[in-house]
Amino acid sequence: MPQAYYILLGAALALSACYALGRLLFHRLGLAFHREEELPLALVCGASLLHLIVFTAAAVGVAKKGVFIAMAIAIFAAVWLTGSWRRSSLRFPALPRFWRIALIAAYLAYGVLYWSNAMAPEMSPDGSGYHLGLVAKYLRDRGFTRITTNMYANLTQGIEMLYLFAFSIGRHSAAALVHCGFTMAMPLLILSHARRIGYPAAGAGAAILVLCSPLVGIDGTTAYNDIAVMSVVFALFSLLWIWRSERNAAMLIPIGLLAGYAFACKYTVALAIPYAGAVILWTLLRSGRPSIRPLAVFGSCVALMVIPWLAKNWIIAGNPLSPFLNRFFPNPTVHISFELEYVQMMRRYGEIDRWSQIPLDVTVYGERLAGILGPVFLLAPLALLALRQKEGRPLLLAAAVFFLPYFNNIGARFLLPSLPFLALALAMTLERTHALLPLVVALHMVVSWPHVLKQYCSQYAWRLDRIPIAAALRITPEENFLIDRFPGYSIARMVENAVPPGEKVLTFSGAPEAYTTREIVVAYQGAHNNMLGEIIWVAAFPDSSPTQRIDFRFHKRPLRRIRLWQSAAKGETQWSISELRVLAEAKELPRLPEWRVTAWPNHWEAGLAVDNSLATRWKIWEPLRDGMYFDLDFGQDRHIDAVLIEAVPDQVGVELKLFGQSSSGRWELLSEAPASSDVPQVKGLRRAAVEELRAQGIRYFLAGPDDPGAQDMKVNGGAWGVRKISEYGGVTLYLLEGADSN
Amino acid sequence: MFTALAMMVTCCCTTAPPWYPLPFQRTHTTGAEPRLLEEMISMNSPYADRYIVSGVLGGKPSDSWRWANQRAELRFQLLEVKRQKMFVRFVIADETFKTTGPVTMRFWLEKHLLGEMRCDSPGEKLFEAPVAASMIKVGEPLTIAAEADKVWTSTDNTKLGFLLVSAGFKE
Repeated sequence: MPQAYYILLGAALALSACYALGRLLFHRLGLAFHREEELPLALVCGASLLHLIVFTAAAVGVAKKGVFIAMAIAIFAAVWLTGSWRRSSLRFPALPRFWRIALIAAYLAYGVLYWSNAMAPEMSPDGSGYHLGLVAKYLRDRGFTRITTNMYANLTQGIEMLYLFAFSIGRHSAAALVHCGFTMAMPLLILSHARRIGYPAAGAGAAILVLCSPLVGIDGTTAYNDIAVMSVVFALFSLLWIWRSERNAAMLIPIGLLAGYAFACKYTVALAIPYAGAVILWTLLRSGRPSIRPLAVFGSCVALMVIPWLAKNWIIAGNPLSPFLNRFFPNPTVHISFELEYVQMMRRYGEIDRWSQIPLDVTVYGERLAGILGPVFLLAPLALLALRQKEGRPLLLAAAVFFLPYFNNIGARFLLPSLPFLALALAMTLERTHALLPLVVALHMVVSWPHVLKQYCSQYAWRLDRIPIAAALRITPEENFLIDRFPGYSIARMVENAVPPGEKVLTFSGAPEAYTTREIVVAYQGAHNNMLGEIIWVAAFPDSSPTQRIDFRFHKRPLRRIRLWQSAAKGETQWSISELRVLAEAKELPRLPEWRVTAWPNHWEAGLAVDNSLATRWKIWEPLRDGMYFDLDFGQDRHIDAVLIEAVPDQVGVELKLFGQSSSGRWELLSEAPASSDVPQVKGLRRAAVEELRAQGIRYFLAGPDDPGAQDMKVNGGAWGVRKISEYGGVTLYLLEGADSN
Repeated sequence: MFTALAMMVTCCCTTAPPWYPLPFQRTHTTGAEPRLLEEMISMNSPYADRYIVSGVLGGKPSDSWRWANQRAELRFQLLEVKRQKMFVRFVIADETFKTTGPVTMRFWLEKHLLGEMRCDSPGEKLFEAPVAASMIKVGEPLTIAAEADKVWTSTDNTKLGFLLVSAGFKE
C-alpha cells in the first residue's frame, strides 16, 4: 500500500479511537451535549483515555502496531455495541450566514494548507528531535525503557502517547496529522462554547482568529504538542462552564480527566488542576452544597492521569517531576545547575533585552521568540473590555491563569494556552462595534496566509511557507523532500549509515533522533551527558584543564577518614576535584580496594575524583554552599601527611579545609591553609579524554562546526585518537579510536 | 570551631549519602601528547604525513624530499599572528625537466594566490611570500598549495610535478 495511505490510516485510527472513547465515556456517564460540541469534546476527552491505554501498553512492554490496531477495533466495537455512536438531537441555533461562509472559507483554505504541511515529511526541530525521537524509541523497544540520558524523556508525554499509536502505523507524518486533527478541532471548541454562552458570531470570529494564526498553523501541523494542549485546556474550561450551569455531578469525571490530562501533556499547563479545583470549590461553596464528594471525584480522575507519569519519573529518574525541582528531589539524572541555567535561558531566550520587545515580536516579526500569532493580536488589550460581560470574565480569568507560566518560558508557543480565551474575549469586544469583527477577521485571514505573511515577518520566523501537496501525497519521495529541505535529516542518515546498531553518539548540538535508530547522547540533556561533555571540554580547552594544585600538608598521623570541607557561604562557582591524592612522605599512597568515597552534594559522581583520570572530575553541579564536602575512607588507619588536589583553575571563592578522623571517631582540623599553585597543562589529555569516553561506552562523536572541541579535533585528530569517518554540511562524525589508532 | 560544629551537625542531622567503592583506576598515558601541527614541516620529519592533505606521495623518513603530483596541499596551524612569510622549498628534478622544460609554479594560502615562480632550470628552489594577517585564522588549520603547470607522467601513469623538501610559515 502506498505510504500516503499508511499515514492517513495511522492518523485516522488514532483520532477516531480518541473520538470513539470520548463517545463511550459520555454515553457511560449519561452526558448529553449539543451535536456541534460532541465532536471536539469527545475527541479531547477520549484522547485523555487513549493516552492512558497507550501508556499502559508501553509500561508493560506491548507497544506495537498490532496491539494498537486491536485496541482500535475493540474500541470501535464497544461504541457500536453500546450505541454510543448515536449523535445528540440537541442542536444550537444556526450560525448567521456570513459567519457560516467565513468559517467554511477559512477551513477550506487553511485546511488544505495545514493538511498538506502536516502530511508532508516531518522536519520540525523538536518534532523530529525528541517528540518523535522518543516515540520511535518506545516503538522499537515495545514500550518505556530506562532512559537516563535524555531529560525530555522525563517530561510528561500525554500527546506523544497518541503519536505513538499513529506512528506505529504511519510513522512521522501520521503523528503530525494527529496534531493537525486537534488543530482543526480547536476552533470548533471555541465556537461551540461561544454558541452555548450566546455569542455565536464572536465564537466564529474567535475560531477563525485561532485557526488562521500563523503560529497555530506551523505548530499544529508538526509533531509538537502545543495546539493539542491548548485544546485540552479549552475543553476543560468549556466543561467547567457546562457543569456550573447544569450541575451534573457526572460531568466532574471528564473535568477531572482533562485537568489531569493537561498535566500529562505538558508541565506548563499543570495549573489546570488547581484552576479547575478552585472553580469547582468556589462554585460549590457559593451554592452551599457539600464539596467533599465532588472534589473527591475530581481528584480521583486527576490522579488517574497524573500518577502514572509521576511514578514513571520516580522509578526511572528518581524525581517525580524530573527534569525540574531537582533541588527537592536530588537525583543522578539531571543536575541542579543545569536546571537553573535551562530555566534562566527559557526566561530570557537569549535574544530579548526588554519586555517591550515581546508584543511586536510575537505578533508581527517572529524573529526572536519563534512564532507569530498574527498582527491582529496587537488588539489583545481590547479583550479586557470583555470584563464588562459576565461571560467574558471567566474567559479573561482563564487567559490570565494560563498566561502565568509564560514568565518561565517566553517563547511565543507558551502564549498558546491562553490564546483561545483571549481570542474569544477579543471577539466579544469587537462584536459590539458593528462590522469591526468581520473586518478584523477578514484581515487576519489575509495577512496570515504564507505568501502575505512573508512580506512583513522576519525571514527567520518559524512559519509555514508552502503548500507541499506533492510531498504530502509522496508523489515527491519522502527521502528526496527531506534531503532537499532538511539538512538535519542527512546528518541523521549519516549517523545511521556510519554507526553500527547499538552504539551511542555523543554530540553537543544534537541530531534529529526520529530519523536514526542510533542513540544520540546530547551533552546538555542529562547529568551523565554533562559529564561526558565536560571530558571534551577539559581536553580541548587549556583553561578547562586541571592545572591547579591544592596542597594540604600536616604532621604525619594515623587517619581512617579525611574530609574536604567547603566553607565559603554562597556563590556561583562550581567546586570540583579532578583527582584527590593522598601522600605520605611525598609518595602517593596506592589506592586500595577497601577505600570508599562519598560526597555531598552529587555523591553519585564522587568516584570521578579518584579514578586516576584527569579527564574527569567530580563537581557539585549546583550553586556553592557552606557545608559541602568530599569524604575518603581508608577502611583502616593510614599514616599520611599530605593531601593533594588536582583541579581546574575555575574555582574562585571556594574555601577548603581538610579534616581528618582517626579510628577513635574524633574529627580534627588538619589544614585550613592549603598551598595553591599552577602547573603546566598535562600533555596527553586529548587521548585520555577519548579513552575515558570509550570507557563510558561512547565510541562516536558528532561535531558541529562550532561545537566545543570541533576545531581542535579537526586539526589534532591524531592527538585525540579519533578518525573522521563521515561529514555532511560541516558536521563531522568521528570514530573514537583511542589506543586502537596507534 | 564553627565549621567543625557545622560539620558535626550536618553529619548527625541529614541523611548521609551512600559510600562508593573506588572506581576502576584509569591508566591513561599522560605526558606523551602526540606531536601536533606546527608552523612548518620538512619531508624528512617522521610527522610529515600528518601535514599532508593531498598530492604528495609516500616516502621514508630518511628521505629529504618527496615527490609531489601536479598539486600538493599541506596543512599547518599557527598559534599567533606574526610577520609571517609562507615558504615552499622544492626541487625541479633533472629527469622531469628534460621532458617538461621550464615550469611555472603557483602557490596558494587557502584560496588566496600568493604568487608564482617560473623555473627555467632544474634544481632546488625557494618560494617565499609575505602573508597578510587577515589571511590567518589562529588555531585553525591553514592549507597551503603548490602547483606546477606541467607534469611528467611515468609508465604507471603517475603524474610527477616536483620534489617537495619543506614548507610552512616563518618570520
